[in-house]
Amino acid sequence: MNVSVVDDSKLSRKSVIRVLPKNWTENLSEGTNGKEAIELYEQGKADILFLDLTMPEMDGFEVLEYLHQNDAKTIVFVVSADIQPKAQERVNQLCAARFLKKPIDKGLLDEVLHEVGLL
Amino acid sequence: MNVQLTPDHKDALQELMNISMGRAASKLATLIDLHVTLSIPNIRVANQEDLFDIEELEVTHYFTCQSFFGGIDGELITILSKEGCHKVAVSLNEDMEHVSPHLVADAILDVSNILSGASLKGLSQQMDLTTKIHSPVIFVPSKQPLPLSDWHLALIMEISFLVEEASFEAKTVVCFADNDLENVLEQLDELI
Repeated sequence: MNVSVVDDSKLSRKSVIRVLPKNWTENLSEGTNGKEAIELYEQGKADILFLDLTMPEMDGFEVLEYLHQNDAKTIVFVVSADIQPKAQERVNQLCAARFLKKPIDKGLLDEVLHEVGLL
Repeated sequence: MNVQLTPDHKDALQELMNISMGRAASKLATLIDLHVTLSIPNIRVANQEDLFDIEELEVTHYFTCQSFFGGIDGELITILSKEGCHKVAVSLNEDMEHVSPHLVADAILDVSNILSGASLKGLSQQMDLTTKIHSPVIFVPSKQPLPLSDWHLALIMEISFLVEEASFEAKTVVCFADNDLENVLEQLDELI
């Protein structure tokens, strides 16, 4: 399983990686903006994608739209500080698996991964 | 003012701020019932020029200040675009054709409290500090000059919000007393 974590902040990528299941970090890639997220997807490195919304170059919504249009099989977890209901709604419409609030919580992530059948 | 932010400090502050701003924007969106588009906050150490430039913004901007104490001491100065404040006041009082100066003042105070108050609170919480923040007051820099020279270090956080189609910019200047910025940076080192 190839996992990618895309966020413009190093601290934020680190805090996501810290709470991932241990064996997920073996095939882990990182990206710093939406364009890199798409590159990682096209290189087959994003079976699972942890995606920030507010990013330079190309934001998370644009990445979700791209994946949606391309019928991508990527399982996307949006990890965002933008917790407004409208942002969450838009993310759900674009078929992200889940919306996770920053700072990401280990217990909650495990629960969510269980629910979607990844753990 | 010779403290330098390393790229890692800047990244960490920006990210903590981003989380706090997300909470603040969500509160603001609920208050005015409009979606708020967030952008990445820009954070840097203020230089002398910045602090002088601030007073020149008086024509186009409102100013508020609120002091904070506890884990870290200092003062928050929020600079809000007048246009943005009027728009917020109008959306808060939908049924009114004209908003009185009193209602605009309320909007200024509400918005600065939500934005700056929530951001500083968020920042301190994430660093395990218990900081208390006073309510904001409106001030006019040309009438009540800021005791800027009393603050040893200041951080400037530029935040801009887009409220539906109306652009609304806000700038927060955090002035830290004594060596408190250094303490903040030390706390950050533990996170990065």
